[in-house]
Amino acid sequence: MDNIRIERVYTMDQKKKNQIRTFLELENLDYEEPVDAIYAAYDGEVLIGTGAISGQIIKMLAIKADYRGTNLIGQLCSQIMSYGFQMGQDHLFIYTKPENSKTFENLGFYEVCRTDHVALFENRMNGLSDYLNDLKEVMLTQSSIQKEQLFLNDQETECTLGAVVVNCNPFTNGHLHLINTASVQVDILLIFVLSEDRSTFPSEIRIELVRRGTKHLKNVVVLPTGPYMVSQATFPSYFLGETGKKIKVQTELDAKLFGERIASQLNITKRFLGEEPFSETTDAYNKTLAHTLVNYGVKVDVIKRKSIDGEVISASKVRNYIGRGETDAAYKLVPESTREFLMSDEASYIIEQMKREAHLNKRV
Amino acid sequence: MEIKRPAMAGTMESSDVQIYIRPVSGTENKLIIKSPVKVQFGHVIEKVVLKVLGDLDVKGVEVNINDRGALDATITARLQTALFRASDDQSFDWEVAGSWNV
Repeated sequence: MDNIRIERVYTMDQKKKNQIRTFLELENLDYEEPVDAIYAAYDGEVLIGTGAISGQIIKMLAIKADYRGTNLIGQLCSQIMSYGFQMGQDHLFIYTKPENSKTFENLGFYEVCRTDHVALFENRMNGLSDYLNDLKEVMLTQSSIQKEQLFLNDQETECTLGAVVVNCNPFTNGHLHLINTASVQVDILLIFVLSEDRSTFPSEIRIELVRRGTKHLKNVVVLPTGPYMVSQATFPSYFLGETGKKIKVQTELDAKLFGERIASQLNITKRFLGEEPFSETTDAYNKTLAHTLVNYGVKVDVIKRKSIDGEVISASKVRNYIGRGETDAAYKLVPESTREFLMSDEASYIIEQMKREAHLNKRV
Repeated sequence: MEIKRPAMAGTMESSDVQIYIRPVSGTENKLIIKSPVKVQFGHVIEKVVLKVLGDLDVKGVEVNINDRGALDATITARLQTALFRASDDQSFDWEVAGSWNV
């Protein structure tokens, strides 16, 4: 037992990486990319524990059966959190099987939401409630909503609130159409813009373009999602095993989190989705979302996509046109505010990025 | 002492405490204590934390304590470390600190 040490494993070390992969498989877990850092615990040369971090998410934590009960997981977790902290990630999340709740509660994690297949934890007691309070503050200052109208939990409220969750990479006429259509069907429309920075356009710019593009609407409030919308991109499925259907599990959690912890707190009764005629996966997502949200008093409304000249408007088309230098075609698909930004100096490094991406797409 | 940024000190090893602090608006300090012996010793942990915050004249922080059975001295040391990491204060003095811990 005295020979136990914890060290960071660099993924370049194929031998150690494969050893970890095998170890995880024995624990019925997958080695799941992407990974920013992995830590492994050894007793001499024997691998006895692992843990990894990717962005804000801690995952792949496993301890060999005969070494459990010694708080090795606490030591591993400390190292991982320390790494996260050094990288500027102090708000950390864990997705795991619901049976593991006690373990993570003991490590200073608090449950955010759970379904039958997955539980989500964060390392702050008041993370979600602080986020909701911030939202309420913005909602009250940025619109004509009266405090009494907003948060009447059980009573009939005079004010109907709707929500839409968008990425807007960048904000296009398609998004504008969705928002225009949605905003006339409710008293107040909350536009949640994804805070996750996994898109070509950084989140501060994406949300600012949404603000500028919806200035003409008096009943909308533009808000960040923070880390509380479970996206396909970030959802880890390493613990689901053979039987898990990643997308369905992720969607159920996302829907429950939105319905139970967010919509119910903010009195949202309608959620608008853009139609996805070409994506089976998104169609399945929309159906699961509708099915789950109904349990939380939220009605889902699917809005048809806007087309120009028979072509459906999408942000990826816009990025593609810009990347190929076809700026006129791109400008036709976006509102004035977005076009102004694209033509400004501020946007030049993003345009370079789109050119690089278009070049890569050509070669694929 | 002015708290400028979030900071962390400590680990989740047994008998240690992990402390995470971050500045918040206003001058009130907020304590969030998680401990396996919260029922028995929560008030003692709170007393120790408030003393350190008082000694260093700290205002407007949220202190998250994830205790794993730490003694007063450990809590004090970890909290002092986190606070200095969170500020630009270079003035840590062992004699002064020692005089507090009586």
